[in-house]
Amino acid sequence: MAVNDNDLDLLHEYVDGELPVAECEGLWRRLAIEREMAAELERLRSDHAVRAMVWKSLEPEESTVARLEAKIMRASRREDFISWAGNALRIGASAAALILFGISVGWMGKDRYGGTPVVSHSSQTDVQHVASSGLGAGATPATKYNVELRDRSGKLIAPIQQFDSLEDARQFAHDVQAGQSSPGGADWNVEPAVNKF
Amino acid sequence: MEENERPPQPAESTTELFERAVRLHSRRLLAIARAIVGNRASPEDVVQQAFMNLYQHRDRYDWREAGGLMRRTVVNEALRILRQPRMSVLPDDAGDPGPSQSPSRHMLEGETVLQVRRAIDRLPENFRAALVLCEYEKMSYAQIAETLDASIPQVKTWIHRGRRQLAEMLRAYADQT
Repeated sequence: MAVNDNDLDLLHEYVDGELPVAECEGLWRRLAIEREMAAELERLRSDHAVRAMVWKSLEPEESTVARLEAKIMRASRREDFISWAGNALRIGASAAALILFGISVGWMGKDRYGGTPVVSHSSQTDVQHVASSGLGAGATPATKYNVELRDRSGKLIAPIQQFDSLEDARQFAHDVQAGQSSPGGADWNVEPAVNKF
Repeated sequence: MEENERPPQPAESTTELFERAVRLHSRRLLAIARAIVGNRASPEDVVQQAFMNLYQHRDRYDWREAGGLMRRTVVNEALRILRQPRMSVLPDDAGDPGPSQSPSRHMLEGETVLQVRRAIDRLPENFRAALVLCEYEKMSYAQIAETLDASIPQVKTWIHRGRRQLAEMLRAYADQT
């Protein structure tokens, strides 16, 4: 009786040690009486032995293994270095970005908070009068006087008010100075200046 | 399929464990890669690439028992390479029966090994991978299924069909000669 595909699968599993013990006993009984099954098992074992030689022949020589191991070790160290350099670069870049940010913030803050507080002294020298540009009074009917607030270093903080006459502008500047210097007055730390334009 | 690994020292770093695992497993993994890729790619490149893939994520793995992990990675890398668009075929080294072949060994045996190697090389890639893991690595069907990301019946089919195809190819060769 020829060995069918199911029996062949059974024999393959048996050769591979995958057949459950209970089924092994049944197979042994059949092998004892079915000559074709026994012959097929012998053939499978013989093929298995030949393939074992093939697998063995695929094993590399020592020199090949040593060369491969050396290549892998070199590659792993290169990977370590790349990883380390990448981390160092990231840390460096982060530190540089932080420093740059700090400098930028400091630079911007310098303009706002860099001035020394000024206690204004009311005097005529604090009030700057820019001379007329030489045009006649009739030729410049729209002459204006601008009162500007400057800190002690002379930096313009804000133009505050426009006046039609120099007297009004001076009066306003005087009032601002008086407001700063009086007890309980506003502490603006500015010097008003009168400009004509 | 035992892990012949000595117990790791407590102070061993991941790199040291990796290097030890490479020394322990590279020979067998090279043979597996050679069985799967045949002459379609360099088995050394397959193993090296697989190991480097693992090393790049080395902190994820337990390197004290890395045999299974490395085997799975090498097999997958070999199959991945075979599934890429066809590459140039390397010189056929099937004529070199390997270091186990001594000059005194019978010529007929050498010829048989050569023909079986060529026949194995003509099997579908999954058949080859399953067969080498079963017969060379002595893995169970369940372990092979896990390694190849397949079901156990599928693995069983690959192995049984692979053997039958080999037998047919060798029978045809025997009839010719």
